[in-house]
Amino acid sequence: MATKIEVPALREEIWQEVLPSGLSCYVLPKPGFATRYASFSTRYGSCDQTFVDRDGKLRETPAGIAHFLEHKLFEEKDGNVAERFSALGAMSNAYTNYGATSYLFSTTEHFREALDLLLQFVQRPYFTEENVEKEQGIIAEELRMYLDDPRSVVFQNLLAALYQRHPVRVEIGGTLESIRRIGPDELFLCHRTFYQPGNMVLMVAGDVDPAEVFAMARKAVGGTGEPGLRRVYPEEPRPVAEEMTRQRMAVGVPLITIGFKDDPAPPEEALRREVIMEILLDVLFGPSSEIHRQLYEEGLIGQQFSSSYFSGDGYAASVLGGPTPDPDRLLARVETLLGETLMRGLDPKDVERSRRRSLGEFVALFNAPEAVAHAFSEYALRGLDLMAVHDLLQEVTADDVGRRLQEQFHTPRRSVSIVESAG
Amino acid sequence: MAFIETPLESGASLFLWSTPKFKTTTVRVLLRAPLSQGASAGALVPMILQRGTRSLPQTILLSRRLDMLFGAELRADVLKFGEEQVTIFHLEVAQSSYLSGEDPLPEAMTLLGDVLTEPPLESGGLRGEWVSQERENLRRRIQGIYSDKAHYAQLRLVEAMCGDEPYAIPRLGRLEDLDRHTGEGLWRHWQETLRRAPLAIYMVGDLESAAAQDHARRLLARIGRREVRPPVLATSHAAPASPREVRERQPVTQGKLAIGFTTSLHAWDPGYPALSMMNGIYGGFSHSRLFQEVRERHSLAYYAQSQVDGLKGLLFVHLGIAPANRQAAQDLVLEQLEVLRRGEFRPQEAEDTLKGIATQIEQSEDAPSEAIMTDFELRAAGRPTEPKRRIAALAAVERDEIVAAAQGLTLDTVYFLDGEGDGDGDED
Repeated sequence: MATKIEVPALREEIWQEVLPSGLSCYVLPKPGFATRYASFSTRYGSCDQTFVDRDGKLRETPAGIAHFLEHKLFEEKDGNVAERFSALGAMSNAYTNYGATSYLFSTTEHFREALDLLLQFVQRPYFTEENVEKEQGIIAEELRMYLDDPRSVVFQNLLAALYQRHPVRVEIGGTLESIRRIGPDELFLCHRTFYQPGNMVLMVAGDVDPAEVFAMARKAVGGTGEPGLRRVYPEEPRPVAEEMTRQRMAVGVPLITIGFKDDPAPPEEALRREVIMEILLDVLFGPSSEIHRQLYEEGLIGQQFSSSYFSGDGYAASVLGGPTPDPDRLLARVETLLGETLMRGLDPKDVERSRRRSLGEFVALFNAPEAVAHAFSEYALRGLDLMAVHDLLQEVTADDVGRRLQEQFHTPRRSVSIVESAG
Repeated sequence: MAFIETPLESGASLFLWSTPKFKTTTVRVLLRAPLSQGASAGALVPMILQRGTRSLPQTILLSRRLDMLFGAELRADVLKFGEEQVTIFHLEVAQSSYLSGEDPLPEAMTLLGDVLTEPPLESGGLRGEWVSQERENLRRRIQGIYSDKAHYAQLRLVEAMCGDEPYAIPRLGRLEDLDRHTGEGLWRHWQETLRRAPLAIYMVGDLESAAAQDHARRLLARIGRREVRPPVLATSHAAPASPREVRERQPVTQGKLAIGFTTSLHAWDPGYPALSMMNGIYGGFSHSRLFQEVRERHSLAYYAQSQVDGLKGLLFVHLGIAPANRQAAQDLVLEQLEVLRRGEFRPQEAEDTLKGIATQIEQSEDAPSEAIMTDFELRAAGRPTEPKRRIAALAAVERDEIVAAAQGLTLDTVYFLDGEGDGDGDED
């Protein structure tokens, strides 16, 4: 039975149905838009390296295998799937992050054919020794690209400093060494384990009929939704692994990222936590904050300074930073200014301002069906409902935000990652 | 897409797309100025104007005011557009019907006008403290390009190719000019831009035409009398007798190969759609020659693509490769061009390219900012703006026109950002 999730104030709705196969399907109808978009995603990311498979066996797989699998699914016996999307006028793509892998396309014509192709190819692995070896060269170049990208390096170094054991500390794509240990057998095993409909989400947005999408998915995705998968995460100690990490690179301006490790919220609190933290970080470090004003006027930050709450299965942290001429001075100033704010407490007026801003941004998100679909699907994979953010934004109080200020920043578990100029 | 043009006073126009499709109202003011040695002044001024206004003379006051207007977005930046530098002021506010409370648009429009015309002044110029702070910010933005290797490679390629032509000047200008900018000089520069630059006001949202015209007229009234200079057409560039080669070393793990060609067609040429088609077959998509050969068949790169700048008549190819594979990759890039020049591509490749570009054209109507920039670029080149006509023009391109467009390419410069390792020593 299809049901509706509505945000009446925005006159937006998302239709949902869980199919007999266990697949969760969502449709955001967007009449008047030319683009029709679909993503087919699995709750399988770079962190899912160790798991108990469907036969009850404990498996440990090489770092980067989820991403490797994402690349390889595009290859079929008779060619590359991307070309078949192209022939329909559709643009296909895919990405892997810490907790999920997603396959997607957008198109203006031939939506049904493209949706069918998406549902088919993701369920149809084709791995051979030869095509796996070929992909290693391509992925090695992708990894090298990130190794030369200071924004990527400074962030990944931060995660490795914040976390002692959680696999979020390892690059999503793995390492030049770990990808060499990936072969067809491991890929088949991971596909069999994680690409079960009960572990997956189909998201469609655009000028489409929800009933028709559900009918197509019911036909294309079989199975009975039996579970039988258990992820194994190592116990993550509360303290950070390292307080400071520095690397030299060919950069024009140094970069800093500061992370504050947080205890992950219980699942039923996770969405509320995110909403509160986004407001808190905006009040503390956003463009309208006192800390931002001082750092900016002291010449320590520019427009690229940002903060966000980074969280997922078993990890959570407040992260802030950007390019700066003097990372050590910036760190010292953040410490001082944050200390002052902790003494003073938050001004409820600032919380109200930030709430208004977030509300306006939530409205604006619905300008872009692809962005809504992307965010909604990412949340759904974590068992969260993006649409509930609208009401949460009105419910959150200044006290809620103030409490989190103390919890997160009073006795901080902090790591700092700096990239300095090699020259 | 239906932007309706209303010519307004002193050479400015309003382009309005009145539609309930979006949940925001988007306004863009675009000012065109020649790309010149003073480009860094052009980049610096919008950074300073965003800092505050006479009525909100501190950055934090302006920023907090925008927050209270439900996170109204008001920002300014510059864009390189052929041999022009376009200053863009972007305003986006949520529509009041989706908010509980007042309509944020009228006040947001006033703030936009304040930012454009009423910065706080001291001694007849922009505020000195802001000038020096933003000069340092701009310096770091320019230096920061060095951190983004693909962007850096493109910049160096264009510098090597275009030498003394204005096109070689980067979007943000050059570091050397930064120190000579004063508050007074920048304010003069900005008043001159407001007075002389061709100016377009774009609006997208659920707006009546009369209301939009009213907003636009009030904005223009604040700018005052204008004597507009005509837009600048990019100078044409000729390839050297034999291609230039530039190699630079840095401590990087991945090499960046950037190759520049001159083309025989410009955006305003009736035959231009053939070059769009040729570029699509060559390197615009994942079904394209470069992606298929360099990445899929030979596993030499993660990305391999081409793009055209129709205003200058140049085509660029970009690859990220292991330094040792440089020669093999470059050979493949040139070999695939030869294949197109001989017309040895399948009809399917042209069909897929047509579909791919058609999808991009249709999709540009789904995002306000993209719709605005697409319309602006097409009008500047004097080309039709209606999606149907644009797609029809591409569909009408004959195979031999695509071949002719490929034959019209001349290799100009090969730039390679190499690692500091031993490499294969294939040159120098």
